Amino acid sequence: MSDCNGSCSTCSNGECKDRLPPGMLTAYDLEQDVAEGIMVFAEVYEHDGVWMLHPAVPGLIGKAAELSSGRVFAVMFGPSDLKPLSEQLFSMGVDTLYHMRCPSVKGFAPNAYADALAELCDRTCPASFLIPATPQGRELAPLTAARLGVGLTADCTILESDGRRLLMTRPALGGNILATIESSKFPQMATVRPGTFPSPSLEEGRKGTFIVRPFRPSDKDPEVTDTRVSTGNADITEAKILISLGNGVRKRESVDIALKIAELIGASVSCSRAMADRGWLPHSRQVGQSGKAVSPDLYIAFGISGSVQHMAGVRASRIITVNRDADAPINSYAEKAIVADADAVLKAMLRSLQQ
Amino acid sequence: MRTIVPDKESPYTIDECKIRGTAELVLFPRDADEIAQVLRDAAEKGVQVTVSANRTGLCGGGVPDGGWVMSLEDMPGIIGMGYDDGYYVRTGPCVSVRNLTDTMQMKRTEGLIDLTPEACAQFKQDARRFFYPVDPTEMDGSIGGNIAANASGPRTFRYGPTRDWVRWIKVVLPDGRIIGIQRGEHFASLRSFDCTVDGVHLQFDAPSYEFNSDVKNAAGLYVKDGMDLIDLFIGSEGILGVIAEAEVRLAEWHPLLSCIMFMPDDRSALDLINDIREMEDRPEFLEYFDCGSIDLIRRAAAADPTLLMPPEGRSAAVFADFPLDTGIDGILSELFPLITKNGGSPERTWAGHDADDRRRMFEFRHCVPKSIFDYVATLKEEMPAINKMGTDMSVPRDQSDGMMDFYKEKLDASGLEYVVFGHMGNCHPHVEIILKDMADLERAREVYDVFAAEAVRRGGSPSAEHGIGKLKRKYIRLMYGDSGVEEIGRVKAYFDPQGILNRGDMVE
Amino acid sequence: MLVKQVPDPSLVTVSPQGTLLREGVPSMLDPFGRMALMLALKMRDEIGGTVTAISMGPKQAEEVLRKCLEFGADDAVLMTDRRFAGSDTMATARALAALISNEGYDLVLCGMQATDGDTAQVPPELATLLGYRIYSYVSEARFGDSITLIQTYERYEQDSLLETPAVLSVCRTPEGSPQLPSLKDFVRASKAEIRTVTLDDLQLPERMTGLKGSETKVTKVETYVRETIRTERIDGSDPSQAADIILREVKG
Repeated sequence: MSDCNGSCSTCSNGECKDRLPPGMLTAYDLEQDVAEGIMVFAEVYEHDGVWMLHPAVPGLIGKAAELSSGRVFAVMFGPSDLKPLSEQLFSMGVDTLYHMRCPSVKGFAPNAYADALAELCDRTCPASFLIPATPQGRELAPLTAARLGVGLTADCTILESDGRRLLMTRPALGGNILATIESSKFPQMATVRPGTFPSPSLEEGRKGTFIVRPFRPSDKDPEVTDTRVSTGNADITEAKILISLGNGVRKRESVDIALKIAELIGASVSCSRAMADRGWLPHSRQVGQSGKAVSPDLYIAFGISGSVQHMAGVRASRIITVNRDADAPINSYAEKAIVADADAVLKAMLRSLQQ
Repeated sequence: MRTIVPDKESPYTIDECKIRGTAELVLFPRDADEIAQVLRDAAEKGVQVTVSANRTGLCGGGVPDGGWVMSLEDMPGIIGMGYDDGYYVRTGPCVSVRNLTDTMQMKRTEGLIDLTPEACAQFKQDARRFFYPVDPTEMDGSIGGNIAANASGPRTFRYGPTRDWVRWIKVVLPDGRIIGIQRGEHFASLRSFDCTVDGVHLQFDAPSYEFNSDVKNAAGLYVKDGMDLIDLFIGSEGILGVIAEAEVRLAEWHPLLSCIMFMPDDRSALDLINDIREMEDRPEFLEYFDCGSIDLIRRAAAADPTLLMPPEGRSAAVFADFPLDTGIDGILSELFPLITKNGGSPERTWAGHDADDRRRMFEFRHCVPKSIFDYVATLKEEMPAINKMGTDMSVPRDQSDGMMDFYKEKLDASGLEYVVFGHMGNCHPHVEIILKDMADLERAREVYDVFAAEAVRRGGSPSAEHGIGKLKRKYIRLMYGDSGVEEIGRVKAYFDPQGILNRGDMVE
Repeated sequence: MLVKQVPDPSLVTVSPQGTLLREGVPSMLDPFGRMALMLALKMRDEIGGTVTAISMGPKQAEEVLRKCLEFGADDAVLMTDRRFAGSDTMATARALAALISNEGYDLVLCGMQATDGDTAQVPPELATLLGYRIYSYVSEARFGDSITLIQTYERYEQDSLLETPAVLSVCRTPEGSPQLPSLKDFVRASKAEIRTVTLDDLQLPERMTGLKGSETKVTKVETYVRETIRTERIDGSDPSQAADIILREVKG
């Protein structure tokens, strides 16, 4: 992998050899004519000792099954306890499932995974490779794409196919322009914003091929000395009512108030980037172009100005806003725009609910 | 025309002074003719009308005392652009200053009409950027309200108050007649007006008192020998007519360097301000924050991560904006020694020039009044009758230090807690008294009156920018005596013999 | 330390027809780039070395580099060449990799993503091309005998030991960062020179970067027109009234 083999796709004839930094010489050579089918990265996580599929995965597999003229491949990483997930994946439409195992790799290992994925793509030659745009996916996809020397489109919200060609559409510069992007090489890689596609209907008992493959650890992966599960995660993509907090929420206690209100009315709490950057709520609750796409029945936005990046992730039936600034952009999306102090209204809501 | 009957908690019967009035009806005219209709109906029924827009006033001008409220909020549009010796904008009365500023900054001329040929297109293509230079701090205030109050703000130090930027107004008189007053067309002979405007003949005498223009002043009708008729209406707090449309001029925008200089104590900050005032290139904006104000900001920033946190250690601060277009090197070489001479340092001075940094610096500054406002709001939950007590008094420059000493002496003697901050460029600091209970309020009211008398004695104004409204009427008498009040009343009676419009504002 | 100039996101608005109004919108240092700068400065203060701010973009991107200098960066490089134009993330990463490898930087800090493109792809691609380690989503660094980076993923965070050479993508401003430039640094920066680097200086074949070197092509751009809805504006000066309005909506 460290020598230029003369057939690398990032340069040709080895003329780059003397000038380019190491690593740029490396690229896999894909047999393009045989590229067929769609590969999906099936992200998994462990919760209370049980392995689960990331909620973004089913929608992605459903879409892959709809688009693919060939097989639907899925690939997951982890210990043998993952096996029960295979039935789920098959029933969603996966034809071939690769289960990558390596006893010495514990937890997410981006470089080891990317090496393995690049090799797997080299072997299976999928026409397209879809990855959920989760933090892990958004790290893994470019690592893999760079190894393969292929293009990658981030955070797609629409996927269409033209034969084997994949038309990847993403909101550009904030959501009101949709850019359709095509890759020049196979596999055509894209990350897809969680919450974009609905989960497919399950075909119980559907069978597929289950292949276990080993992978190697990478000396490029960091030495992890401690891992802590972050608290306060919630799946905001499935919520019917979202209480969403933004930069206009100025008091820390308002976050707890919002969580309490959410519990009382059966809602979830989401946030804008500003709130996640502050560390007041975890990134898993962030809505928007760099967070998640949500589609609740009711989206109650507190102190969110409504940057185009944020609104790109909101597809709500109804929006209510609470904002000090009467001219905040988000108000033009709202059915009701309440001009008020977000902290004060949250406090009043809790008071009213507790009475 | 929309109308509503306001309930007990209606937003239309209160403004930022937080005193609630009462009204029978709120009407929402959509143009000058409908304003005239409302006024004629009111005259016929003998009902008084209080005009309101965004209700950001601090002296109760928009708070009704019975009768009708005429809200102009259905007239919120920017109308058009023109060009003569510079660009100007025509707006409806309820356009917020923020909206005007943003629209001009971003050159959003879509949908605006050309008041002179091709003005909009020319503006859009102009490589230069322009802005409305009156920054009244309260950006949600309406243009109509700003003109009625002759609003000023920190930038008045360089650009003057609203008056200097208004070139034309359309006024609906209390009897329903509509006139357009163009600056430079109708002048008084000494104090006597005798002119015909849009077919309306006006003949009356403006008050004879001396209006103090040497300091920032928003108390009483503006008068001057040979004055322009438009200037009588600007700052008249709506007692003579309703502003239905206005044209304001724009200034060319240039980059600015904002500096917040942290100084070891109050004295050194005030000394630095005095030195900066003497600089050859004066800053556009010069504000003072005493140590107490910086402590308030520190407390607010500890709870709110979006705010800038002052550097460690007790300090006062000076906030100045310097134009970056010409010779910043000269300014800085002049400024550096002044900072160090007074005990500050360039390391303990923040410098910001891009939009984001300056926005945060202005938020930092706005944090002082906001903290006090929030504090008073929480007090109010327990003591509904408590109110914010902040001064709004300006004095001539040579009286500035003396006035500051006077504030300090009286407040320290009264045992009240307070912070001082604000427009030192115009010798117009805000002294905000931090009240704890109703007894504090009583004592604060007493010192407040003492301050007002002292400001007038020193040749200053007891209301530099907030105006008189209903809350500060007694200062009109303090400044202009019984005869002055009577003369204002006479002008008011000339335009509004029935006294239906904004009754109780400025004079009883 | 890589930064990018983006339009101030809070000031980009969308017209009713759906076109983005960027005219007159001032550009700013990308917030994530700013976080990376702050961490770079902190690392310099802790472990020594120099901080070079690098930006690829048009001549105007000098402004953001100037900003980095104002905050205390030692040096700034602007990669500007019309042949860089149209680069996708891979083409961008190749140009950056060439410069970084030519100049021998062993620690590269980037914002997790830029707020205009939001792809977050450049840091991992850059790390791969350079053969450097990648530390994504760094929210904090702890300094001791070694440097521990805290990486924040969706459901967990992990402590990783920093080993160079490495690329870091940064997602939070370190505590105690300068909030604004000091007047002293402002003056120093206004006199500093910003180096300009072109494609020729990089000795990178033209087809490796820019539009020609991109692995993805934009084939269609559509304006997404959203339905305009009638917004009811409500004065919420009384919080409990506002609260009741919302709770009524919740109950449907």
